[in-house]
Amino acid sequence: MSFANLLSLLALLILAFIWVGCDTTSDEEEFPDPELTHVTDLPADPIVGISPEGRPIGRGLFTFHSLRENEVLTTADSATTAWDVAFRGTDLIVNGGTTGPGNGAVQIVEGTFDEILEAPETGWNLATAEVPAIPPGSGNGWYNYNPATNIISPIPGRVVLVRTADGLYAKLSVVSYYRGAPDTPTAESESRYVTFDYVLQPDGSRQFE
Amino acid sequence: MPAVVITATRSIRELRDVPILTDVVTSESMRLLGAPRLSEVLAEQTGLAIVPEFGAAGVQLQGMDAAYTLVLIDGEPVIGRSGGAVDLERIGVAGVERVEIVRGPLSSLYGSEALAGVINVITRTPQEGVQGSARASFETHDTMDLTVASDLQFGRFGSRIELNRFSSSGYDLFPEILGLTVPGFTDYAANARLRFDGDHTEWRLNGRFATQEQQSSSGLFLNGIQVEFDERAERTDWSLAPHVTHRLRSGDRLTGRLYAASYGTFLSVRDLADTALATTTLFDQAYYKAEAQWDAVLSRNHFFSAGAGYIGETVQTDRVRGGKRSNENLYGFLQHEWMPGDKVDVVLSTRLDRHSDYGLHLSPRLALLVTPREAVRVRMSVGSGFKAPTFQQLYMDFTNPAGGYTVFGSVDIRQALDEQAALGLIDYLLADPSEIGGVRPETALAYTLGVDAELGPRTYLQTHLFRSDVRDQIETLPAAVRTNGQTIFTYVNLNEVFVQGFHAELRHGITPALEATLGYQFLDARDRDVLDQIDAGELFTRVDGRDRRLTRSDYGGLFSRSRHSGNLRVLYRWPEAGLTASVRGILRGRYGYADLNGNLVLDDDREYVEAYTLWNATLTKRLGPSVEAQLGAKNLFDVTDREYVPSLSGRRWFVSLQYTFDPKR
Repeated sequence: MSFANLLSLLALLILAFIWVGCDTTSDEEEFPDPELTHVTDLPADPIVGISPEGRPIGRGLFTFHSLRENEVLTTADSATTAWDVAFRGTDLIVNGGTTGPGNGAVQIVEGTFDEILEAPETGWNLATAEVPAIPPGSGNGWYNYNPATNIISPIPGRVVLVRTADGLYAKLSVVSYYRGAPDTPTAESESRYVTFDYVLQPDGSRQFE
Repeated sequence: MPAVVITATRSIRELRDVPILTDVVTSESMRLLGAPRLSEVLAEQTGLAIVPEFGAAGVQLQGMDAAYTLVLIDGEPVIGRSGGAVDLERIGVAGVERVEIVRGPLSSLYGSEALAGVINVITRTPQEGVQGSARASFETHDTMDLTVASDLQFGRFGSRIELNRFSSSGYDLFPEILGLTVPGFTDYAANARLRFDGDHTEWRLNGRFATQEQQSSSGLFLNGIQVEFDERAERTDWSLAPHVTHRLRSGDRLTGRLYAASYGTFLSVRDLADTALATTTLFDQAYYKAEAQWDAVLSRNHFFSAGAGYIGETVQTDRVRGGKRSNENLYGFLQHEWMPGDKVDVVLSTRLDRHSDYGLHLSPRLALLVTPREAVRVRMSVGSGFKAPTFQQLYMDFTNPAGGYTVFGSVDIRQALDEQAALGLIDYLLADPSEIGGVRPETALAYTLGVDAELGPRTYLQTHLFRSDVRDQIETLPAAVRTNGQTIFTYVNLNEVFVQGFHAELRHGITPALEATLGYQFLDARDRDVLDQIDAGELFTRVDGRDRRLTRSDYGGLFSRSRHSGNLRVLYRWPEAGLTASVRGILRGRYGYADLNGNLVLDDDREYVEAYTLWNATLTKRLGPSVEAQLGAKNLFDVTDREYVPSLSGRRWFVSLQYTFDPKR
């Protein structure tokens, strides 16, 4: 059993536990504890052909994802606040600023995923007409591009903090850019399939515990 | 005749007395290796590694990339680098008298590129009378090396002409992928050397012309879709070097040298499915140099040299801004050697370069030889070396439509950004334009300490400690993002690295007929910025999906460097039978291949290539006074690692036959 499967199983067990737990509590509003969610092979504008210049091209479309529901939405939902993060190749946008109607924002912090227990109050980036919320390019955001191997790798110790469309806080770590999240991607690996982990705090606080 | 060298002080010196440690590979030892190309010869020397750089066989010297070693033929630079490396396979050794290897910077005499060291290929001088030779060598992969040479020397006039053809059909380690791993090629080279010795004046004219043709097909996987290409590559290089040396009555010498060299490549890529991907790339480089040198004997123990020169360089390719660019370099150097007694020899030298793009650069060096006992020599040096920015780093103007990026050289970046901004093509800047542009040379400050000792009549030990701190390494920096999403890059001075270590070589004559040499190098090469990031807790690694902070002990240093490397050579001579046998083992210790876990540094076990040892064996048999035959194997135990070391083609057998025509014999 792979680590990813193990994680999913753990998540399921926790879910089941919470469900049982929720059943027995009183009627005051309760939020489930933040939990680790694992998203596998989210298509991030997969390659459909090669441009006349020889550049691999996709359809140029973002794939929209709701962190709260953990589901992929249709492109039609892009103008709503139903989505929180969207991927297109190495581009990662959130639902806010010029990239969405929501209250979303983003910042990238250094540290391990586990040790980041609170989202900061300040430092949130919004996409503007000039600058995206996460600057593109190797080393600037969540990934490094290695020209020696032509591989895109998530940068260890970079955590993407997301403010969702409706103002909740989440931390997100990209696991892989390749289909099936291979341990060591090669030139033959199919790129633009993003696997990521995230923890969403549903109660609106900035704590991830 | 005692062995002499010329590289270290730009004057002929006895090898054992030269203050800067120089290693010499003689023509005889090269002949016994059965290796027709310089790359193969250097691969067997302690502390040198041949590292492929974009198809070129470059030399890594004391842990520094091939770009940092100056390669000379008869004192003149070999131009034309690919991925920073001079392809040492371009240089055949059939007409080579010796190869001198100086470790440590020599920019104080030679200027740019002599940062890690200098490799000087000294060709054979014309032999007395009339001589001729022919050599044919055949090897696995249809590799063939054919050389004919003729020597003429009548009185004051001498000439030597060599013609060489070198070809191979290449090899394929990935039969399931279209195209060969290393494609075949055909090289032709002609070398001519003329000399005239007057009463006080020596005239020399060296000329070289070489071509290579290569055809290949390749397939590229772009996300599961295979694109097929047909490639044709041509290379032409030539050089001409007239030298004149005049001896004055005082014993002083005046030398004038002219040097012109040209290097051109033509690459045509044809996409069989879609002609839009077809490209042709032309690259032409020209180098002109005029230089004068004065060597003076001031007194019995003071020698002085001074020189000055001019270098003009031109590059012509559609990948530089404007299509053609030139620069100029004026320089002068001084060297003073002082021997305050029998036991001490001090050499101080310095060179000042004035370059049209990066301005003034000073490179001093101090070297000291102490001979405490007849059999022991201690050499110390401290010196600076530099490497000028390349044409690419200065003037590049290249957009890769497939990769989706643009690169501008540092000389033009600000203007290019202004122009792009005026056209409304700049989305936003990633770097402050006032802080980029105007790249400086990369510099090193190096220290060496070496001890040579004759431990017995047939035992010789050489040890050498080295440390070099390289500053201002030139790297790419993203400068701006265009409105089409493509990033614009330029070159800036960024990294600081250091290399340190030692090498030792022990040569021992076990019997008069049997000689063994054991060589070892320890190397520690690290990036200072990486160490700073580790100390600040800013660098992470990912193990089994969990991130943790990298520690200093996790960091494996610079990629491609073996911490341990070594070699063993055993030579057995049986003169009565006309036989010589030579067996060599070359250990390349574990080294970093590439980053695989996204932090761009070497830390994960998966990022290493495991150590391997190559064994080569050669049997040389004299079949008569003028004929010699050779049989041998390279990589005897068929070591291959197709994923990580595709340059290992497996076991190669070879045979060769040499015929020498010498009527005096």
